[in-house]
Amino acid sequence: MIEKIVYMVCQVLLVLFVAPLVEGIIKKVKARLQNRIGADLVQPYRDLFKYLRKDAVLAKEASWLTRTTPYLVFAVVLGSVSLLPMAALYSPLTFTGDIILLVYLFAVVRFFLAITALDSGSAFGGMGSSREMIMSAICEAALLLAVIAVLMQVGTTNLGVIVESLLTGGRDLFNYAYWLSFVAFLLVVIVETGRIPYDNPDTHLELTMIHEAMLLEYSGRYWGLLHWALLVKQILVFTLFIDLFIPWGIAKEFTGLAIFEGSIFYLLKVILLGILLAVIETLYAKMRLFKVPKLLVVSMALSVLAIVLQIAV
Amino acid sequence: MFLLTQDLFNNLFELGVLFFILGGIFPLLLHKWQHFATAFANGCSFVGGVLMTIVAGRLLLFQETLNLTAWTIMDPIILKVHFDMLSSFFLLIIGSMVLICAIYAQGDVVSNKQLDGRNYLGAIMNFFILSLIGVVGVDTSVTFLIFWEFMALTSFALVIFEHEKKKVRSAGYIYLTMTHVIGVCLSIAFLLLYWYTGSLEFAAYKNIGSQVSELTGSIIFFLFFIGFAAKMGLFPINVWLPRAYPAAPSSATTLMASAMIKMPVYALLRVSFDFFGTGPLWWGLCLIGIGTVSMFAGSLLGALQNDTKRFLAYSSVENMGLLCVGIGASLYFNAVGAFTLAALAFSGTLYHVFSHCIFKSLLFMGAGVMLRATGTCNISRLGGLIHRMPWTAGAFLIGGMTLASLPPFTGFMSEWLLLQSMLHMAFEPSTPFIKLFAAMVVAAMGLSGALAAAAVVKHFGIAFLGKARTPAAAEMQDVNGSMRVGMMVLCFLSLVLGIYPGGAFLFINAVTSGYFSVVFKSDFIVLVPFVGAAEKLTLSTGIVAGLIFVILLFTYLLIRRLYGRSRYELEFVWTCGGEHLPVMEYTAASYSQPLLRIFKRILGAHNKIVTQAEYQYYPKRIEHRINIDARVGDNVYKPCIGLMVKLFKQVKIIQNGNLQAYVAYMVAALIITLLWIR
Repeated sequence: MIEKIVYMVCQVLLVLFVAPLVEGIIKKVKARLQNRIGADLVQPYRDLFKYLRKDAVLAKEASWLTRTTPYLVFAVVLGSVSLLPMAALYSPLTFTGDIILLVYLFAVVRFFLAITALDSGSAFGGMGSSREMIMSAICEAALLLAVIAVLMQVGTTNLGVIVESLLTGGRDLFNYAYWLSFVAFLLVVIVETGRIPYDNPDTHLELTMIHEAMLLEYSGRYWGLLHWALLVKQILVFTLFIDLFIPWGIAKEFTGLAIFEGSIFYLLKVILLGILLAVIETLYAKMRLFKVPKLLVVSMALSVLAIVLQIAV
Repeated sequence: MFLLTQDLFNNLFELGVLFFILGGIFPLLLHKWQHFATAFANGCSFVGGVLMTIVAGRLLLFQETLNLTAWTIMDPIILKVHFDMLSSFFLLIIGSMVLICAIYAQGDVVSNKQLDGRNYLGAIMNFFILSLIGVVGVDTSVTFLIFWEFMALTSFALVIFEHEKKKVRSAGYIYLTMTHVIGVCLSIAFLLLYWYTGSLEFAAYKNIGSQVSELTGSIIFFLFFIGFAAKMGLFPINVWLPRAYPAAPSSATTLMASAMIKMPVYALLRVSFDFFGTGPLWWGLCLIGIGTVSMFAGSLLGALQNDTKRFLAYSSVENMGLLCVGIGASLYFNAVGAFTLAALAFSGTLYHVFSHCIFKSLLFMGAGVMLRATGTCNISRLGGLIHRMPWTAGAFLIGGMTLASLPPFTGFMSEWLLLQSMLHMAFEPSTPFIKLFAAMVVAAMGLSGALAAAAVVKHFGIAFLGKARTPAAAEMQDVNGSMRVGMMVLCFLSLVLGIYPGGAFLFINAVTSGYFSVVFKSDFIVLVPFVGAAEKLTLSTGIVAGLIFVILLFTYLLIRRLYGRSRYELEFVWTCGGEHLPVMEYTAASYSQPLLRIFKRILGAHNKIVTQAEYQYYPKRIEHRINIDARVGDNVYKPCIGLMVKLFKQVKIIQNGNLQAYVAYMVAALIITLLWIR
């Protein structure tokens, strides 16, 4: 019992402190691919701690929501970390929730970000909130279809059981369904983490931005916390992808050594996925806003094909 | 122990009915003392609601039935009530909603200075409640139809209560027409049942499915279904809902949206599981399909509304679709013999009945408060209410989160149960088409849930946050204590049923155990014993919510310890140097514009821009209209109405308003009658 609690706390802290590093790596890779030197890997940490120290400026119209949302989002994201299997097969809290709860916890995060975006009364916030909520609605359907395409093989929504049976049942690399759902889910990951070609995380250009527009009115420690929470959320989405598609290397037994090995494998997988996204970001240009649903429809079509293939075989 | 005998509970039930009758009759006579009459009516509703809740709770917890015979109308038609588990469950819903709504209604009516004839409102409400209890209580077809029509008429009276407005009257007519259509379907279905069994008793209809051919069974079932679907407001027979809800007074809408709309659900459950038990496979699939379409249409159209009450009405369309999916899934699993999953879908449906009652009445209470101050629920005229009405804002936020089925509120629990049952429809072995269908339904559930969340963000954000858009919105005051209590009770219920599902399962299991041999053990953790490859699946939002709360507290204290108290300055929003005006805020219409654009094809929406000016490029006034009702309104209803008008014009040859002609008819009728009886 005690070691499980220790493990859970370690898992949360590990993800919390690795998340900025992963962002640093993604930025570095992007910079190198664009022939820039780029900031060094620890820059995100420096940013975060600087934000946390600073005083804040809030809008006159802002209510308690602006001051609460960062803490709430931070807590919900960290709470979701304890649900997912990362280094070891069964996270200690597997019995409390499944993949559906996870999806809905993401929805809570989005809900509060979108509501608070309207708090200051600034038009940018409204724009971002509206775009985010509507795009994410379509993304939700794509996400669920992609998840079902995987779960069809497993027959449960329990995260631990899913990963275990994917490991033992063998993710067949020569199965078309695997690759179809792989691409489908990758598109969802891009949308959920707000990256090119869906959204550009580096600009504040009002015509193109979706996610960033919701965050313009935060400052000081509120912005610091929120920024950190969103970095952790990015890792969470990565982890969901890793659990469903590249589960190899995860610790099967609950021993110190196995968990250590599992953690190393896990970090490697997260960093590789980050590099993959950085490459995709460099290769593609940002899409027009109203083309984005088509991207998601492509993802849905791929998922449906994957489901059909699995049923037919 | 004498106090807890069953007789006492029978008496309590009778006492409750008596209170409703008193609360219905006396206020009608007390037109002079409106304040007293209203308080009396609401007091009677409250006491009656409490008594009904106690009786229903007792019946469910001890698994007892209640039988009372009141009056023999004609020999086989006897007015008697028989509460089994299913009807007791819905009596519990009615009772609890009535007692909460009565608290709110008292506050609402007291603070509403303009409302004239409020004593009649209280009286009609009491009769309305009585009809609801009658619908779930009676167990013969004729008395069921009587109470059903009684419910339709009293609710019609509530809809047209503010009949001096033209819009209200037109909404009332549409509502009345719809109830007639329902009445026809139900009467034919009950007549067919009488034809085959020769009895009016519900008890005689048990397992009717095995006594009639599949075709006859299907005709009866779908006649019932069409009737109930129209009352539930399933797409595309939902036209009356978004018109009737905004027309009725807020306290009436609250009860209509929470309790009345559950009556067809009750009746559908009764018909599906009591009369038929199980049906052919395609019944279930059909219900799931219709429910899914309704879910999607409701959430999409709801997100496009700018009037909160209309949005809530469309949200009812969505949620009734979800309930229909639940009932369909249960029927399907029953037909294929997967009884655990059937019980899961059934429990999920009942759980969602709880959830929907709670959040819909909560949100309608909030909408009622908005309506009172500005005379409109159009959120484009509101804004910044959170500063002046923190209680209402908090309640609306919790209600909205429940509607968007976000954890840790009760909406999530019921959505989870229904999602699980649909997911397992895809997982369990069956034909490929059904598996694919189930997967699509799950995706549609996700999509419509997320669209509902978008709509909640829109309505809360535009109405409660930012700057006030009109002077009236800037002067709004928070609600009085009585309304506050009503809303807070509902918020509390939503949270409790969200993190402690055992509380709801206590009552749900009593009903489920009557139809299935599987019940779900649950306290803080829901345990679903799936058979087969999957392990037992558990869920505990309570533990996760607790964990998140601990992290929240810890983070707050840690940040405070490390960096001191939060220091912030308040500044104007940056608008490129100008003053930040309310017109610069994002509007309700622009919020949902991307949605309109993405789903333009599906909606069949067309917009019309009218510019008024001498020169096209210097308009003085631009009018922009979007018709989003085009697909159904223009393509389905208009031709139907056209056809009806044409038919009635044919009838006009006989019914021509000419007195001489009528006298001639009477003479002719007299001669024919005389010849007949000669």
